[in-house]
Amino acid sequence: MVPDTQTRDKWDRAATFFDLSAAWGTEKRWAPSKKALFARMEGEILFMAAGTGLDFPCFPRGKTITAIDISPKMLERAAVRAKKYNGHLELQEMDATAMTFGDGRFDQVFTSCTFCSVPDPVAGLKEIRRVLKPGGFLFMFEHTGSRIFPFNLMLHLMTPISRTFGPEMNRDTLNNLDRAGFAIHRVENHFLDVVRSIHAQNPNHPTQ
Amino acid sequence: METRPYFIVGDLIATCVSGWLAARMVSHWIPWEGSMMLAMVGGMVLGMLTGMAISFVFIPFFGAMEVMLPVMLAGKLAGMLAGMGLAMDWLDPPGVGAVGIVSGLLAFLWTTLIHWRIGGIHGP
Repeated sequence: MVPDTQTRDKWDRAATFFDLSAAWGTEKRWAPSKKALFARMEGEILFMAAGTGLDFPCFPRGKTITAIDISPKMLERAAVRAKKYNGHLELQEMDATAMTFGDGRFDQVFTSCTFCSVPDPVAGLKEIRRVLKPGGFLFMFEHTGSRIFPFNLMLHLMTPISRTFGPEMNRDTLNNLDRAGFAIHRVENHFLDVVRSIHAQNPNHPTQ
Repeated sequence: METRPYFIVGDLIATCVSGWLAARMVSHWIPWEGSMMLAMVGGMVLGMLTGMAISFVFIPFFGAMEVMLPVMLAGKLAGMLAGMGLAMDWLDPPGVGAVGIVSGLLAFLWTTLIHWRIGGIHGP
C-alpha cells in the first residue's frame, strides 16, 4: 500500500503547535472521562494515534500497550512522555488504515480523538477489527458530528477549514462503526452529542 | 454535566466576550442602515466568524469543543440580534455590547440545558 504522506505531513506540521492548544485546558477538561475509559485496559492493548502522548498520564499503571501514530514528529514528542509511563509502552510509526500487525493480535483497542483525523474512517475501523481478537473490545473517546441544530450547521461549516490543518468536525462515527461491522454496546455523551465515549465489540466471537 | 467552577466560569466568560465582540463588530462593519434582512444575515455570519476566531483564544485554557460551539453560537446570536436591532432602530451602536453579553449568557444557558437533556449514558 502507498504510504499516506499527505496525512503524515499534515500531522508533522501540527506537532509543532499541538501541545499549545491541547495540553492544558482540553486535557484537564477531558482527563476524568479518559481515565474512566482507560481504566478498562486489560491484556494486550493497542492505542491508536498517540499524538504527542498527552493521554499517557491517564493510562492505568502496569499495562502492556502498543501505541501507534502516522507522524514521526508527533512520536518524537510522545517518546518523552512514554518514558514516564509506569508499565510497558511501545511506540511505533504506523498508518491506522494499513497496520503491520497480524490478525487478531490485540485484546483491546483504544482511540482518543483519532477518527476525526483518519482520512478513510471506515477503512481504519475495519483494520482495527482485523487486528482485534474475536470478541475483543474497541473503546473510543472521540468528538463527532452533532444531530442538534445549530451545532451540526457550525460543525459542517468548520470542517472545510479545520481539515486543512487538523481534524474533521462532522464525522458520523457511530454510523462508521456500524459500516465497519462493529457491535455498539454503549455510548456516553460527555458534551452534547459531540464529545463521546463509545464501547464497541468485534462481533467475530467464536461462539457467535 | 460540568461541575468544576473553573470551567463553568471560563465557559461563561468565553461566551459573553464572544457575544460582546460579535455585536461590536456588527455595529462597525455591517451596513445596518439599509436592509434589515442583510443586517441580520450579515450580522449572523460575521458574528459566527468572530466567535470562531475568539474561540482560539479560550481553547488552550478551557477545552476544545466545549468552548468552540457555545462561543460560536453566542457570536451568531449576538451578530443577528445586533444587526436586527440596529436596522430597526431599537438599538443604538453604544448599546449593542449589552445585547452581545446577554446573547452570550443565553448561548451558555441553552447549551447547558441541551447537554443536561442528552448527556450521560445511552444505548446504541
